[in-house]
Amino acid sequence: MTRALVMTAFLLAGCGTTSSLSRGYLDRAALKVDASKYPDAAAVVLYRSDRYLLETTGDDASEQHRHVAVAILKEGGFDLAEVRIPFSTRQDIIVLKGRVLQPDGTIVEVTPKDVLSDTNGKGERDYQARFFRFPNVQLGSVLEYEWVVRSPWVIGSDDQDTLGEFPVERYEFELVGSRALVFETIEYNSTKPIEVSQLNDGRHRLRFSLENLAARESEEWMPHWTFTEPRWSWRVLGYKVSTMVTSNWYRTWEDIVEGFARRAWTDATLYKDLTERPELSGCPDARCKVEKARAWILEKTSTIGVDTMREKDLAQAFKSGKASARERALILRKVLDEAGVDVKLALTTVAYSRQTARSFPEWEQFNRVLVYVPAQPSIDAPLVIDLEPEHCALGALTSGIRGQEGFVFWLEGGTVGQGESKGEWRPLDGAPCSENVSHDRITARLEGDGTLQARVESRHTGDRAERWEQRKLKDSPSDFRELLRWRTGPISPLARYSDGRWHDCAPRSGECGYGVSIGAPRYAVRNGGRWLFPLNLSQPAFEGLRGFERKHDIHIPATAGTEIEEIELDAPTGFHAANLPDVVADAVPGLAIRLTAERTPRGVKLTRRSTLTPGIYPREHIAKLRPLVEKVRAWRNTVLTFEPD
Amino acid sequence: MRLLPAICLLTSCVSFPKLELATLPKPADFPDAKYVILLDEDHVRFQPGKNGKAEAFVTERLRFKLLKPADLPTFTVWYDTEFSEIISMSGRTILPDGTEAPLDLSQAWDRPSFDSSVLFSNTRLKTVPTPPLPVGAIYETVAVTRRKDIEPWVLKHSFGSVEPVIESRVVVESPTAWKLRWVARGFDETVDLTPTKEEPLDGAFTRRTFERRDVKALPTDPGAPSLWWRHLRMGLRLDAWSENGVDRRAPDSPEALSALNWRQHQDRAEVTPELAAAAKEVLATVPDEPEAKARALYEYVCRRIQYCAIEIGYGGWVPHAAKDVHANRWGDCKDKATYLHTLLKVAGIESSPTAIYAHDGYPRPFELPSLGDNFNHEILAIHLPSGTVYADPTTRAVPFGQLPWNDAEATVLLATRDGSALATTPPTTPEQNAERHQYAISLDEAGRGRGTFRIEARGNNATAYKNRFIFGTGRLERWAKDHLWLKSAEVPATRFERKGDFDTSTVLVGEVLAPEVVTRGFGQMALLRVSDMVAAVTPALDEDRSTPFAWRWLDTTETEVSVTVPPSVDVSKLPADTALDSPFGLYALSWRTEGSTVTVTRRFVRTQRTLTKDSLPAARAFFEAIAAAEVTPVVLRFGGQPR
Repeated sequence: MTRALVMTAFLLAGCGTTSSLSRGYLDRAALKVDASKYPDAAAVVLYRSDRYLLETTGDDASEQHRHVAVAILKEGGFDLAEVRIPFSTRQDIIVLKGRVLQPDGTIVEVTPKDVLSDTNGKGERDYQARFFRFPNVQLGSVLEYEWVVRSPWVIGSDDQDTLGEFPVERYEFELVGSRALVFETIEYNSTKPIEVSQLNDGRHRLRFSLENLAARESEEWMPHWTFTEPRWSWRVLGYKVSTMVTSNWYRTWEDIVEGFARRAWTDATLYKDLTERPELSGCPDARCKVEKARAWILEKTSTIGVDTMREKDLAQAFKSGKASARERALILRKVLDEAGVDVKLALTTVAYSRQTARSFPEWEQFNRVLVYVPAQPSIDAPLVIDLEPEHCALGALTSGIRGQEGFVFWLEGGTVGQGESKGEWRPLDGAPCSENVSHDRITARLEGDGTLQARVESRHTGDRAERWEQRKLKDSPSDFRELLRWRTGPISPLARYSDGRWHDCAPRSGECGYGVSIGAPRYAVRNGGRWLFPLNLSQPAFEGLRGFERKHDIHIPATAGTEIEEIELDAPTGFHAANLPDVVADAVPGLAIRLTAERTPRGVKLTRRSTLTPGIYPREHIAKLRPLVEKVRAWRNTVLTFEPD
Repeated sequence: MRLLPAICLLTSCVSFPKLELATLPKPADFPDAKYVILLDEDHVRFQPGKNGKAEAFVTERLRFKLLKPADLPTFTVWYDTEFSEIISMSGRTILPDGTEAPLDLSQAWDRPSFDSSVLFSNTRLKTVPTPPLPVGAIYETVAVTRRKDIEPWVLKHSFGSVEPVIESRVVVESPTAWKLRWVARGFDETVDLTPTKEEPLDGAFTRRTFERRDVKALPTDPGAPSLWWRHLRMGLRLDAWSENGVDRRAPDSPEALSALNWRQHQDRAEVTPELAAAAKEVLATVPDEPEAKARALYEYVCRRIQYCAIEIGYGGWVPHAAKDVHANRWGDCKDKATYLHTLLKVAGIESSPTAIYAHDGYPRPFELPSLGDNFNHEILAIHLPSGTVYADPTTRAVPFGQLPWNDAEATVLLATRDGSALATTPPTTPEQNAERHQYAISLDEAGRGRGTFRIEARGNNATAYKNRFIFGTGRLERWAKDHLWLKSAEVPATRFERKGDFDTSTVLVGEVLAPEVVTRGFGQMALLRVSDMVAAVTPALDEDRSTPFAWRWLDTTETEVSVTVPPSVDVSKLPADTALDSPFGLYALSWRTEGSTVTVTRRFVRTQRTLTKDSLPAARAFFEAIAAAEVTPVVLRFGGQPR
């Protein structure tokens, strides 16, 4: 039977090879499912494995293997019966087979005629794919398939993506490589040991397994999935040229950045047609050059709306007026280098944006390129320059970068395409940039018939100003009206907006926002001789933290900051506020709130101030956060009473 | 030999005219626009191919001017390897200083479409990344494709876009002896579109040009028709032509298209022994009565056949054989309709596969009688003694005799041997679609609510609930929370009390925590208002709205919230009941007390599905009257003497 299945694999793949990674179908015992353990799941992954084979004997090659067995528990699992396997035009699928184990125990094989191919891609960048749909799938069916994609090169590294939304009973990872290869793998968010062994033929093998992984559910304020899901990464450290000599591939962080460093320092094509330069001739020292060159790149380009790690043609990017932080960093490094300034680059990970491991060098951990100017005459301490934000002063860093460590690197002995990268981890010190503050100033008047008239001016600083600037650039007039509806709706179903307009946003000075007038008839309620004024005018806050249960840790992103809402309310003529709420001031790690109310000559002033501190907090911390969230909620859910004078 | 000059004309000879940059629009001319489309041109040349078969070369040219530092659309060409091929892609950029450069095609990549709703087709897309461009730059792209089979193809062109269009044009060249047909429509009207220019060309060809200039961008609003439907648009196809001396004609009427559809279905609906046995097994316990049999077979198909679309070549219109669908247990809409059609044959019940456009709230009018126009879905018309019943077996849990909302009020074409005229599916009614939410909540002294809920839904309103218990994954409580009308509520426990897939209604019950039932005062006063407690029934009809609004379906919704207050709470006089009657709906709101329980009941019957632009002021007044009723409070006084 096993031999017959291997033959099936030959036929499906349409070629005459197989793979040692293919293990054949699982035993029936491994495909039994206890559906009562998964009352909420539409499917359960009984088994999944990811295997890699790296070959350097003969022609270089890699094989990547995926083996999945999934039990269908509800009809929502039927989607899993559709299988798409994309691969590049330089790769081949050498094994592809599948079968359905029916609830009555019968087995239905996926046959060659079930498999469809789109192999119309011809260019090196093009993709093709194989597709099939499992036949005769029923509730209780177990779908099992495996494929192997072969690449005519040695893959240098890879990392696992999410396992998806269904529970997983067993997961296995294995990496087998030629004796000449030295490689390493890492497990995140798991304590299972990695088994290291040598096969009889001298090849190395790393493997580990995981069991009983819960379904992944999305939740507001949850950390990036890399912080929570068990997952692996692996990389090839080096290639043993002989027993004495090993050529490093991705052994160290220097190896990881080497290609980038060589391009940045010695690849003239990268800077082709980039002829513009800042006027630095009047600068007496390095600091002046840095200041002027940085001001020049900020003036000539904007990162608003550009992916931070984009790297397009630098000359085109510069001329377009839009450049990513990475493109800006490459240009600034080049300009300063030409001007005789000692300058390096740095790579880092924005705080809390994804899980990282210092012990495991890999490019994927980085998501920000910085310019690093070491101490030198006229520069007393190293300058870390993050070119993503528009609003920070030289030497200032946003909260996502400040206090992180970055891998500072440079190239030594560089001629075209050559040179050796050097680098080290260093703290990224700097002054803080403008604080992330959202400030809603609401001037409101309660008219004699209970109508509310209000003007909202919503201003944002810091990173938030840039986000609003981006929105201002991207939003159509219809999108802006949607924003005004969102601002108006929670106040009253009778509330209407008018005179909405964007502010003259100036992210470099750190401010952006909008204003809108709101009128709401029948907003306040006449009760006896008094007016009852609900605080629906205040914006709802922290709605995603109100739930009574929490599945994931709580992620407060680096862009978090302070929210201030000031409502200056004029009472109707002849009325005064009968009572005001007590001041509420409370703080726990991650959140501080202060709610105040005071009388004014014409009414009351209510201020809600809350500050979120970026970080990842254990889910149990919700018990401490929720009382504060509840106080903010209760604040909005209150009624002011205005009595006659 | 005629082919070569044509290819030269359209590919290697693609030209980019010199532009007078100073005369082009400036940001101040269009302060709200991110970019302006200087030219949107479709140039089509119909001609005999080298094998004598008619073909078409299509040149799509787009020329943008960037007015803000925003992104331009990506240059992507979709093609189907059965029907079309890319001849060339090219482009240029012109910087504000006049520097012109060809588009870098080395970064282009080509891949299968990986459409989420179709597992496999021969559709691929080739994409060229847009280079970074400064404000004021011109970006122009030209794609030339060859339509290898023009028979099912319809050229579709919209004379407007999401941003302003300066010049929008369709140029069609065809042998003078060949006949074209075109139709043009605005949102709710047919437009008599005549060529702005018609001229003879060498070689007995005629060129027709259709053009519009200075087309404004249109606003978008929730519930509004898509921009495609609101701009002037045209469809054009070849009507009559000759191939190797043989005259060919496209279907010239809905009836002819109906007959063509019928022919394409018939050999796919063969009753095999397996199908006959399956039908007989289903019907074994069913009364010998046509409607009961049809119902049983319909439910069998809905339950048994899973949705999966594999569409190769004409497989976009021609179904898989019913026997294959039976064996595999999967198929797309036309596969399922044809499978049901075949099983009904076994039961002696006549039916017709029926083409339909599953709409988004705005049913689509019939335009050209072509396979490639008008329809995106297939259902079945079942001819019972009591009349024709439409059934959509692609749905999973719609009771027999009803249609999902996006099939209702739609133009349909039944496939029949002799050809059928167009028909229209019946509307759904507010009686068929209903949803009732009941919340029974007790307040504590702090004003926090806790209680139970019960939701009963039927018709289109039940679909989300049915889909959850049939397909859903993840915690039911989390899902239920998002389906409560009670605001800011949490669901600690819930379960389906009634969940038959073809039941008329579903019932979901559970427990609820509701911290915001009342708006509390700092002293003793609190407000109990419908607008604070439950979601509104009113749509977004802003004063400055200029677009129509459509509900997806008409329904009856009922909300009952019973709030039991602590003994120490005094309840003010209740608001007067409200009853509103308008063409847009019937609305009733009533309050009552029983002991320490205050109950408010709201009933809203939507009676008009589409609100035209002209009816917006009256509709707005009606919904404002509803909102006024819902902000009228009961005043609660906390901290009084216990009753």
